[in-house]
Amino acid sequence: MRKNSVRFLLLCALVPWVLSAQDGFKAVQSQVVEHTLKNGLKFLILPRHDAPVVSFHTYVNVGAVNESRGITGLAHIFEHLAFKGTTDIGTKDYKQEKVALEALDKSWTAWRAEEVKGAFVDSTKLKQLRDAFEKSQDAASALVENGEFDKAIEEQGGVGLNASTGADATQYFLSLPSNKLELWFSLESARFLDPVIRDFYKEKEVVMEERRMRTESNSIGKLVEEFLAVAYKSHPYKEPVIGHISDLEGITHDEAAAFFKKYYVPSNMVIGIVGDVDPKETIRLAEMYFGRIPAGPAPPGVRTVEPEQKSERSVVLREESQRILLVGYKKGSVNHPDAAVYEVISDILSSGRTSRLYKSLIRDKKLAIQAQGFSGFPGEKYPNLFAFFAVPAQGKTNEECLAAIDEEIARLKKDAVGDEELKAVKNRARADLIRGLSSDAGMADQLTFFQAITGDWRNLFKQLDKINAVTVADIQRVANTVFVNSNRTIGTLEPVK
Amino acid sequence: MKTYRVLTIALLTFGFVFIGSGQTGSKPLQYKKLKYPPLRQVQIPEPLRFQLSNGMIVYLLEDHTLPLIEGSVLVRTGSQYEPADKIGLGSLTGQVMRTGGTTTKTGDEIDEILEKVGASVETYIGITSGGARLSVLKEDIDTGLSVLADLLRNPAFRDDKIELAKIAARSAISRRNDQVMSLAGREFRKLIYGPNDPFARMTEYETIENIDKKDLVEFHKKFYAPNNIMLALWGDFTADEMKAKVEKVFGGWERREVSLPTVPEPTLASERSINFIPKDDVNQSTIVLGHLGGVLRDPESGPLNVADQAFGGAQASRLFKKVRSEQGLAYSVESNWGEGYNRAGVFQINGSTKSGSTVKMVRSLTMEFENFVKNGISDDELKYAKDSYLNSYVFRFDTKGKIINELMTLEYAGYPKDFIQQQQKDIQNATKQSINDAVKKRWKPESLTLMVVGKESDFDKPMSSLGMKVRTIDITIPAPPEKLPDPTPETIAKGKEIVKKTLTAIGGPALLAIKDITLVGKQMQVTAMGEYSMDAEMKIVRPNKMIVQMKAPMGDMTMVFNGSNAWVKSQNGTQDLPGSQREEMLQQAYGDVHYILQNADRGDYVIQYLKDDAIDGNAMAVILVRHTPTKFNVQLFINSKTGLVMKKVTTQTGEKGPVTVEEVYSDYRVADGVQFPFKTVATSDGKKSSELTLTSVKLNTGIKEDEFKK
Repeated sequence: MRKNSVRFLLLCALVPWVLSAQDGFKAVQSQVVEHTLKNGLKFLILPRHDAPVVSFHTYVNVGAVNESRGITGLAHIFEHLAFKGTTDIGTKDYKQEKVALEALDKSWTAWRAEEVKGAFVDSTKLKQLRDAFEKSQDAASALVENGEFDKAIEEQGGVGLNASTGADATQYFLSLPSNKLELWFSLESARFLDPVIRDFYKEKEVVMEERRMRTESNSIGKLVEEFLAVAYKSHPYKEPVIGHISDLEGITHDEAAAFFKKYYVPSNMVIGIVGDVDPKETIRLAEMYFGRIPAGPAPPGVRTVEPEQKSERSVVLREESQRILLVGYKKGSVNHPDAAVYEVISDILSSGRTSRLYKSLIRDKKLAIQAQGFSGFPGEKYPNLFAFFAVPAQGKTNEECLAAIDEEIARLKKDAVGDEELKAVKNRARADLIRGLSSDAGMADQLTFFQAITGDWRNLFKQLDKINAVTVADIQRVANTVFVNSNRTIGTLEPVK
Repeated sequence: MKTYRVLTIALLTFGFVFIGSGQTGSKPLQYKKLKYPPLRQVQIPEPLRFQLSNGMIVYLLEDHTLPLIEGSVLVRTGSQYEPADKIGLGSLTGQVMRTGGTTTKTGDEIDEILEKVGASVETYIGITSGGARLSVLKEDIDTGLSVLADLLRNPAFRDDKIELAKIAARSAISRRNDQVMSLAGREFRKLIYGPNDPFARMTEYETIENIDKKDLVEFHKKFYAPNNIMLALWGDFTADEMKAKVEKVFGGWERREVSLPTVPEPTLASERSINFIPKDDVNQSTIVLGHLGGVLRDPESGPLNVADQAFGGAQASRLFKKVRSEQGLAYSVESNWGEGYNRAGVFQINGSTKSGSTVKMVRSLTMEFENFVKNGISDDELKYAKDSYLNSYVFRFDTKGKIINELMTLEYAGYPKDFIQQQQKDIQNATKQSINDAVKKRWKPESLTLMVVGKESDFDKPMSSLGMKVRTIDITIPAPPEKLPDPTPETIAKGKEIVKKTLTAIGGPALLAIKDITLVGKQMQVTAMGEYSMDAEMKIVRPNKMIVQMKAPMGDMTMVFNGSNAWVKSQNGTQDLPGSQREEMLQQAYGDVHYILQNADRGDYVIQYLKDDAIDGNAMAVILVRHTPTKFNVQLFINSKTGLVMKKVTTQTGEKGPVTVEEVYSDYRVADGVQFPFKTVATSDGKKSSELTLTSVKLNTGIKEDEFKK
């Protein structure tokens, strides 16, 4: 009875700000203009005229999950290739270049056919073929107008020009002074309408260097790769986004072209434009420039579903490096009905110095210098992991950190989270959402993500309602379902000795 | 796709016609054919600036787009002012100022107050400034401001949070070689500024241990006065209201004189150097080259920033195009003309490449740099770099936060408030000539410092092929200072008792009467090339003279130490030994077991009982012997039954930091009435390093003084 009245009081206290927050967000929501081209490409435009700048975010719903055996790393390679230009950007003479590129692919294919013979390779022949390949590569490179795409943006004042590839998606982004709106339309539509795969073999070398930097010469990168390989049995989340080195070596030009054709169809892309623009004019330009891209069949999703995990798994990596602990529990995707509960648990465990993991592992037990639990690893689109990450303090072990994390998990399962603690989570979610609104680039990113992955950009705002609806019982129920030993994988980085 | 290409070309032709007729944008155009409307005039709002009567400077800027208020604070302080034996003090003070709470609230209480409303107030101390950041929802501004003021004015530096910050600092030290990028950045800074410069020096276990609460309290007291602080607030408030709030929380803080120490200026290297950091767990080398950078107010700053943008500062720069896109040598490659506000930054060019192309990449980067300095910027590059600089200017002012912080920082650093506009003019006015002149004047191939981190055995060519002396940098982390218990009357008394027993066991009066010792035997040495044995003869004259003669495979060698100088005589003539080896000889002389026992009662030694231990099941008493004049100490493991010394443990300075050296003694035999171990096995950090087997020991043969002359 008493408990009920407390809850009632709390509810009353919550009502006013829930309403006002919603009103505030409604204002922003009502300003978002949604426009879908006939070919299926969706634009989300949020005009804001505080400064004469605009941010662009192209979200392509293709990532490493869409690769298959033999072509790991291709989504990311294509992201690199998308900066190489078109038939009239990045070339000195496309007619000549086209011939040179065909010769280049032929010479590479011939060399590669010999190279893969392994023990049966004819080394004289191999050298001849390699020389021939390098010669044709030089010939093709001589026709490239190197860096033209980047230069076209940078010289007009573009900043933050970059792209990223993850397990779920490939994203391209930049910001421009707002009078250069049409520049972006021209370049961005051209690169997806008329891309030329040039510098392909050199760019693969660049990607291999990226792999060496991020994974092979980086102990934490290595741990993540080893960990995912064990955590997943069959879903492509098990594969490294950067790709296996043998695949990077072997991926062909034709495979890259086919991958583009299959996945870079307009209906598989969402574009966010936030900043000093007139939505009407923006839509006109969108129709004019992106309307040129032909529609294509919707690409297939990932067929493989990760089977239920039956046994606890673990991996130990020994390196000349200090200890790191990584733990992952299988859980539902961002579209799972419990998605908001995962977010709440993550906040309770990890947000700030009042979070449970900070208080336990860092402040009180002094076991770690960093400790977090977060949802959505290595992606969010498909069922993924609720992951824990701890950096043990000097002289402390991964085992001690794991035991302390386990204690916190047991507490979540057994004891109801206090109302005050849950209220704080909800307050923070609201404050974070408001802060997120302040950045043009951040909003362009968020809007496209929610549209592409959850099917509706409005979920960015509805998420707050869903978090507000999470109950103490939800948290306990989800903790008891997800945090089960047979459902987890433990990865540890241990120093060599 | 092919059909569409034809269509594009057709559309482009149309577009061109439209431009000619003055209408733009009704057909898709290739980017080169686009014309842009002028950028809407940027109205940069002027923040309100005022000073409180106590000298605190305040900037306010209204921004009503979201119900948020943010703030930042700058304090004239920095780790640049911390004493050299307490490196880390600034950083600890900056952290614990927040976590350690205030005189009226603990840090944990402040965490609760802020986090339950999604607010944050954090403090820090960097190298050249200290400060704070505040971010709150509009309705929480009073809470946020009062916490901010309380932290800056009344921090309590509670002990538990100092310890917590120290744990984090120690852990960071232990992990500092794990990530190549940060390792490379830090070591390069040390090369450019010198290892003891405030911009480069490193926190070590020892410097952390040297810090205690009163240091933090003093550091805060020294710099945190209102007249030494600037505050900026921007967001959803009215300036009048906010002015009153600021006055309320900071107005009562009394002005205090603050004096800022001067920091010596760094200097440009006078010659080239090549440095190598071995790291065997990587398959990619990190390469950095460069030299001391500039200061933002240098007259060449504008032209040099244009040059840097063209050379390696952006995606369409020369380095990115050549080294990454054309040669496929690297994923990351860039240059950065580093500028500080008031002290030179670091100019660096860096990139990473697979181990097998390390030397190729070094040559490629060096060549590109030399070429750029020699031949200068091209017309194309000039246009590109200037345009990208000037066109992206608007992003310096696209948020209220950037505007207000830029202004506050300029005032903090002593720059005019229209500096950005001046800088813009400088860049506008930069010509090919002025840029190339500036580059020739400030970019110095002859002063290049080169540093490579990687696994040399996998390199395409050895580092030495780069044609200069290669200096290898040791990044071993110095061990924390040994924490040995201080002597107490009890442990000293117990130590005395043990020594007395040992003295008797080893020889009593005969031991005390030793004037000189002659040892003959075989010395086996473990080296990188394998083990080898030599005949050895050692002559020791009390207190600290020594001659060691070895018949080594490469010829005879005699090492002499006359108590103050040491030299080696061999076929190659006579060579003096460096100071570190002299030090080692002194430690050997004063750490000699028989010598310690002979002189245990002299004032030079402090001997205490340390602990009980065991070797091979035999009980041992361990004593700690400190030799006060040389600050050197050894631990002796003494067999509790026989009183014989079975093991000696010392810490020595090795090439890669401190090394634990153990000598295990066995085969004790009596020579001229004194027990000597005829076998000594030495290990270094657990690995066997040498073995001495004696064939004879003679005492007091009257070794002549002449033998110790050069």
